Amino acid sequence: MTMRDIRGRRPALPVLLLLPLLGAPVFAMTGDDYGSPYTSAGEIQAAQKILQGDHYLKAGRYEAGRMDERTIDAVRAFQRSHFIPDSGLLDRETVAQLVSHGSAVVAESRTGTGSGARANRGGESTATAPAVARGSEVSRTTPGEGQPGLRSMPATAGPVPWMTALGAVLLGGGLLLARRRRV
Amino acid sequence: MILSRDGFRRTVGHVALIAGASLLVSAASISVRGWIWQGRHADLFAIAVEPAAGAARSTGDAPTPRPPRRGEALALLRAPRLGIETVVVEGTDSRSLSLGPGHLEGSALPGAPDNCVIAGHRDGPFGRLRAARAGDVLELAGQAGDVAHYRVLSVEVVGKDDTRALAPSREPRLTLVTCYPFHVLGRARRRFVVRAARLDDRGAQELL
Repeated sequence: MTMRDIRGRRPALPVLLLLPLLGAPVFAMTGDDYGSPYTSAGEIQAAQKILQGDHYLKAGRYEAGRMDERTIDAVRAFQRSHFIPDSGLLDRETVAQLVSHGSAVVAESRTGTGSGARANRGGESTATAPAVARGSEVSRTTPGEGQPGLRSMPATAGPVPWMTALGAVLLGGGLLLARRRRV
Repeated sequence: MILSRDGFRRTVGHVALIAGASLLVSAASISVRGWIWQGRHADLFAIAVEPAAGAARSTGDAPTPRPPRRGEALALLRAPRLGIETVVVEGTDSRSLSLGPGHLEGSALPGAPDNCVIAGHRDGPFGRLRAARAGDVLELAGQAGDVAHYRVLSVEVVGKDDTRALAPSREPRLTLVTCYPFHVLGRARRRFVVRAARLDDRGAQELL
């Protein structure tokens, strides 16, 4: 086998290696992700307050702002009763349910039955929500400046612009490099 | 076997070529998938877009509120002055946002007395938000033919860790979020936030 033969075949190798790249970004984005867990002390504390309000967690029995044993157990119990995989982590799905639960309590206490849609947002949580909407629990979960920590800013930078730019640069450079074969 | 300089350069060239082509193809497929999804779901809200049909529909049975699932079409957002008309998807994960502007899970549903947060890529329809100013009218149409009108209160640029605009509120609010600055590749450090308050039906009538 001469050098020329090998060289003639060489382009096939990168082609085979890089073919999966074609689909990879799309597949990566199609996968259902539960998001990275919320880990900051503020977020954990806010979650603990809602869990406490819903009697998943007993007051004074947990360490505020830390995912201790009792908090993890409470999160697990909350996840099970909301049909979320009970990882014990404050993933996006869990936090979404927690937040909607917390505000559903407030919405109901404020407008009576006014926001059925809002309360339904939490799915199964409606069953337990009215039970919590009483006394000091309500004022504690009043929204506003109190608990913005639970919502994280969505990443709004789309992949399309940089993919297009980088793709164009690579394509152009590649064409230049690959074309000058006969010097 | 030692590769000659020329051969090495050609190999690099081929690798770059293929990587570049696959990136372009991926970018195109993401865009096309978004367009297809938008086109497919725009019809869901046709009732709300045509007022007469919407009125007829709203006298009938009350819309049954169902919690939307991630990746489902939630509402149609329109900003007549800005030329925005886009289907809002539930969820702000990367897959949902590749389809269209996404409704922050856990924030209020359109029209509800709370803060409804919608985030979108700046390279999508939300890029036109840069022309937004206080007083603009935004419309959110649901699948049941219900339309909520909002008036823009403020337009501001905040740091990406400043989540005050996302916090729950007592009044029905609509908060639109996109990246700032508008023409930078990659991750942006700031967010462009448009805040709007709901107009009651009387206010909306006067306005339209």
